[in-house]
Amino acid sequence: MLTSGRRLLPVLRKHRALYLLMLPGILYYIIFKYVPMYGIIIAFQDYSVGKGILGSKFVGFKHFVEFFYVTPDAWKLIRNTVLLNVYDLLFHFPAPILLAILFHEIRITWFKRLVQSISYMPHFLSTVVIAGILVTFLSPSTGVVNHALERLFGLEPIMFLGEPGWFRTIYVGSEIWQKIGWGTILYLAAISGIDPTLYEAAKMDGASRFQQVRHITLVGMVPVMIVLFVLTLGHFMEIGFQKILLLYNSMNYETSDVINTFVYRRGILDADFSFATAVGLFQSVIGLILVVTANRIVRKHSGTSLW
Amino acid sequence: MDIRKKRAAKSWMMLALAGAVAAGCSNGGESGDGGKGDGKPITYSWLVYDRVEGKVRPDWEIFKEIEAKTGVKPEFQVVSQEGLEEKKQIMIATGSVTDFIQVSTQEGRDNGPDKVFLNLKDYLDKAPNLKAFYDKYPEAKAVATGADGGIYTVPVLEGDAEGKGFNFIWYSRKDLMDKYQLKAPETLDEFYRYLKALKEKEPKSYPLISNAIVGDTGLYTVFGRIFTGIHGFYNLDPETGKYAFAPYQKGYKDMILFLNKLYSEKLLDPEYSLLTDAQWEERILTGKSLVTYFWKADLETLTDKAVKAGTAGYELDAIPSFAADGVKNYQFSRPVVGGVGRAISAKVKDKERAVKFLDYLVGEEGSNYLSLGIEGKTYTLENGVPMYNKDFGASPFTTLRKDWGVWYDMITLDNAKSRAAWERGLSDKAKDINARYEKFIVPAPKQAVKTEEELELEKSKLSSLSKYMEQKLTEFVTGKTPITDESYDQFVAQCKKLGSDELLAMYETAYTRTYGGK
Amino acid sequence: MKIKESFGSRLFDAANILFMLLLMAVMVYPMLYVISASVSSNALVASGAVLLWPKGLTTAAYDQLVGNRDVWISYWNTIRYTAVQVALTLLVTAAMAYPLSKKWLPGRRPILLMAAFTLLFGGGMIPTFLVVQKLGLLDSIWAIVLPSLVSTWYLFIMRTFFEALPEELEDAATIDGCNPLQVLLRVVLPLSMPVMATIGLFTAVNQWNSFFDALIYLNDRSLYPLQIMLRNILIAGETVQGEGDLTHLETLKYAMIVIATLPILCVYPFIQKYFVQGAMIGGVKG
Repeated sequence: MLTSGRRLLPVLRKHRALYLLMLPGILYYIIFKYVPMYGIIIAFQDYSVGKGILGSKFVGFKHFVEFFYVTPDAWKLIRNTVLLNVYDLLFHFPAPILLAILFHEIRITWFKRLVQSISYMPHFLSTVVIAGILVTFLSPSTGVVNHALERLFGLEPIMFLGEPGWFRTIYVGSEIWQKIGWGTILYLAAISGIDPTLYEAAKMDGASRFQQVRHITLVGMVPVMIVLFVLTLGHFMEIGFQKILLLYNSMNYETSDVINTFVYRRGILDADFSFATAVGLFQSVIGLILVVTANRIVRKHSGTSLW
Repeated sequence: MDIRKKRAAKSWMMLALAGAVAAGCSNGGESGDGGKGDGKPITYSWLVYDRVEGKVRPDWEIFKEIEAKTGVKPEFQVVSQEGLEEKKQIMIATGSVTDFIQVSTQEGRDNGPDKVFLNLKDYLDKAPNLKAFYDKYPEAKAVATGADGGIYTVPVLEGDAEGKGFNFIWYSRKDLMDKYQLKAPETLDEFYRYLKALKEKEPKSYPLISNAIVGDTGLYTVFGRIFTGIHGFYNLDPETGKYAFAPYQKGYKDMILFLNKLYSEKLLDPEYSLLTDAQWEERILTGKSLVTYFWKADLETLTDKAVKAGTAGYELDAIPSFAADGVKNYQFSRPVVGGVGRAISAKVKDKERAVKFLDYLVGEEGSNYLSLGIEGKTYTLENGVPMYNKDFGASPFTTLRKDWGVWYDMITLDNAKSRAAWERGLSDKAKDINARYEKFIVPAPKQAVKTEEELELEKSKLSSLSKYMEQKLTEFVTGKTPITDESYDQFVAQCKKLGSDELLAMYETAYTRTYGGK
Repeated sequence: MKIKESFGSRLFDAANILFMLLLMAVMVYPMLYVISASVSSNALVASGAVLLWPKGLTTAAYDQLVGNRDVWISYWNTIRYTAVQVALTLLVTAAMAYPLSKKWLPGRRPILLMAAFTLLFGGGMIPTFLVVQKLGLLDSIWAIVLPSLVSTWYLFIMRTFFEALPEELEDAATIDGCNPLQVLLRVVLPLSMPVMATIGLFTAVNQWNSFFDALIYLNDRSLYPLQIMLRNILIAGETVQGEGDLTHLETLKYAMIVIATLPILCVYPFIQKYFVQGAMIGGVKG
């Protein structure tokens, strides 16, 4: 609701306390986020660190062309990236929500605290350690998972990390395992903001536990869910590549090679900032489109939206 | 300069002034001692990272002696190794590189002409050691020269000039060879039968393993060399002196067939393409794998670990290098000139002094300090040849780096000298291995200097080609794709489509241009 | 009036508990492994002999870390940086999120858009470094705290929580003569303890584990935080294999994780109390 220029000053003065409150934050954004943004230009240059941004040659869309047309598997990379993100949204996103509800339903307080604290532990382990553990567990010859498959179910050992078909499951599964516990914190904060009298009233009306969860708990979490969902969409074209770098190999490239791992490999030959920035720019633009669209949809149908 | 640094400089100046009076008075009898005549003390900043053996110390004795001789004190700026690259990039980008810094020779070539690093060429007449260095090592001069003809780095020496030092050997379990009375194989056929015999005696093992599929110790690299004489996908052919692309050579298809045979007969670990370094080590230590190609320097450490972990009698030994019939049986030596070098910031104060300091460090006396230490304390001369103090043990680098700052990464300029001294002090077993492999060693190819277009070509095509090849070779070896004339031809055709021909021509051109033909 | 629990409800409780036990087993294992490995003999860890319980008990890895004075200096640095960062971040983010939660405030949309845009687009490492450098912040605590002062994610989350608060409470305070800052401090913040505790926790953990900013903005060793110090000690990397002291490598890695992580895990129980349901209840009735 922007007021026209003529009425701007009185408005500012009326709510000046509020604007003043926002001032430090806004200054932060300007200084540390917007001033450096000129750096995006290097996506359109042949940036050389020694020459600097002003001195490097301008090459227009050369890097974008290179990424899409010259790179043989560009579309495969994009496909892999998108699919991993889709799986992530479908399975990883709802997981902490469900777990938060389950946590909330635990009646024994000390047990609840214990489980929560333990569930946070995987979050603190670095990607390197997690990848190491995964590799050990899934090994066809020495891994625990295959031992179990053989002994308990009499199945042949599966080379999990060697089969392209398994990669997505392993990736998303390990993401869920690592982040589900920590991810519940935010939702639990939301739940604790729900008015307890609502529960009492519902109980009096004879609502079952399940109904209470559905109509009160879940509803109280919706605003946070929406905001997180839209924010997550912004990264749709990227994917945490450090874990993939540690898990991919010549046998599963088909499904595991994503945009960022490709850029990383290419960057090893030479610190190619320009190319990396150009690809990053492409990813950001797609993310932006998704976020704007999602925000518009979400604003129409619910009370919450990003803006 | 901020206050802290100013104060430090002042105290050094006091100290140095006292020393300078003495230094200034003595005559310049020693050779290659640049900067001494002036006597004025000066400090230069120097970027380093802390080594795991011991962190950087400002009080290392060698630097005290160097300071006494040249009046220069290096002020070490420490960074952690992880993130070193980024830090370096920022320094270059913001024009704030330390006075002395280690950069890749490529970085030197790229950024030197942009006035980030000092052009050493302008000072060669005042730096006799540097001049001699470049004359002795034309490869060093070539890789240090930027597009504008200026010289921007002093490349580090990695290998001895004759090209004898080398890094890798085939290892196998000597204790098992003795136990089962197996002779070390010397030809490809014997190797195959050796693996088969091992499998028979140790059915639960997968005898052959490697810690990677590409790279110097990679399975495809080494066997590629065994079957075609080309080490890696692209390399110089020591027989012809020209660059070659391994899959175009006769014998590459045989390599694939051979590896596939090993895989299906369970002689090659089926997880070979998935292994992490930790898993590789575990298999070697516990006997799940018995033969591998790896860094020779690790042989004794691994044996030690295995014994500590409980396998008594565990022993590793080298087995000879081998190749297919009609193919040259060789291994490249350590490259003489490394890929990194020392550069001086273009903004350094007192440029001539800085160059003279670098000159001193390249000269005999300076490089002895950095690579060997102090005579009588860290090394002795036996028959005129330096050997490290025996008290330091078989891994002298630990003490050398921690307490003396000798052989310290990012500081020393001559790793070859250190290695030579180290190898002379090695156990008899290690010396024996060196002797056994001597006949296979061929001098490593020199690095070529590529033009901007050539670099662009390499950047845009090489990684996709390599990835495709890795993927396809693994499919062939694991049997996912059957190896027929047709499938192999398709593989080669696809490589061509991805640019293998252009890359090959480019490497050959760049190499010939840099060295004017072998 | 006691409402009886249905059978289905109790079955659910039992199943839930079972599930939680399974969850704990799965989640706790890697941590146990890391702790065990950190006190085991290096050779045994490398050979894969250590699976759950330590073997070849030794404190070698810890000796190397604990005896190192740098580690303690950096610990203190990290604590300082984290405390300052949390305090400032919570203050500035809340101050910005609160006005933005007022749907009637003019200019709200553009500001939110401006923030959201930075989520996706950024200038990169070098331009940001130049800004910090020009401001003269290098080699100081401010280079660590300021560039990451406000996180857009947290801003949006906080704003969402503030929006959920009933306006009556704030109106009551305003009528009593409070200006917006006072409303924020006296009414809104106390009622938003869950979200403040959450964002505070997230910020603290991030700062505790952060590494890159310190790497590029700090040159003075005495200012280094924990992560950098630990990495300094650990990585042997680039040299030719066999020419370095790799004897403690494996277990050092694990000891490092333990030293870096345990403190945070111990902090959580203290934060727990802010997640009590009904923190708001008193406000409405009053």
